[in-house]
Amino acid sequence: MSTLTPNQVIQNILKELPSLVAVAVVETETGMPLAHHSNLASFDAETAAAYNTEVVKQKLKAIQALKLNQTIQDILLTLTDQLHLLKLSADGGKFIYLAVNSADTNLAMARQIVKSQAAVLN
Amino acid sequence: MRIPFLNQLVVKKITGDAVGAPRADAETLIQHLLRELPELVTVAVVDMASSKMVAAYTATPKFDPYKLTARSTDLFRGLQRMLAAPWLQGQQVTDLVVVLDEQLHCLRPVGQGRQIVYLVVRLADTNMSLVRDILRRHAF
Repeated sequence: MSTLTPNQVIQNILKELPSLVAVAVVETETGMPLAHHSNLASFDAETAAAYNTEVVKQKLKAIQALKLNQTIQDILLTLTDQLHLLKLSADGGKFIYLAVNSADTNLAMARQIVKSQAAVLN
Repeated sequence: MRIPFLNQLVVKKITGDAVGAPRADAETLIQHLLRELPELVTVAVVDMASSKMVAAYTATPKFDPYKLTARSTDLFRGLQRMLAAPWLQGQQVTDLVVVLDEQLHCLRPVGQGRQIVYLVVRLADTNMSLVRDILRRHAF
């Protein structure tokens, strides 16, 4: 299977969801964004990536503590009128972070797009 | 009652560290969820301020909800900090769903954010939309 760079993944997601709020590819180890885009001027990719990395790490630790022996498929955060989706790459080294307005995009659509891109992300 | 020095997990019974009205309310909520999702793995109600278990139920000794209390409240405190960002102004957490290979973990703030409900189901038994809808109806 061909692989895409973080930038290409961002472009692909933007093509599918032009009205998205924000999207980023984040390195799990450092919590830093490798590529990002937002339609909001006030979006702060560094801070958003850092907080979302903590969410991922917290959940990974919880699963380890419980000895569940399962991997995280995705994490979905529903806010008042936004959906935030976190999807780990196959090796867990990166994750895609997507924020959309729930009025524009439903959860199934957002998950489908992020899932297909996470599968080819390198 | 859970006896700390024995640290033994009570299975298929509602336990907890709270007393009085908060405990009774949490037990009622757990009973409602058990009625709708009889095959659920675990459900826990955690106090946000103290990270204490208000009430919990687990169907299996393999899943100890008491190991999730502090982690869950820490997670929500992190989310609150994240929501302070200007671009997220006015947004509140409705719920957080974690999809694992075989399980769904759903966390939802209740009582104006004073408590967190932590619900775990097997994906084979139910689906995400149903679980979220059941929580929406019972946990607020």
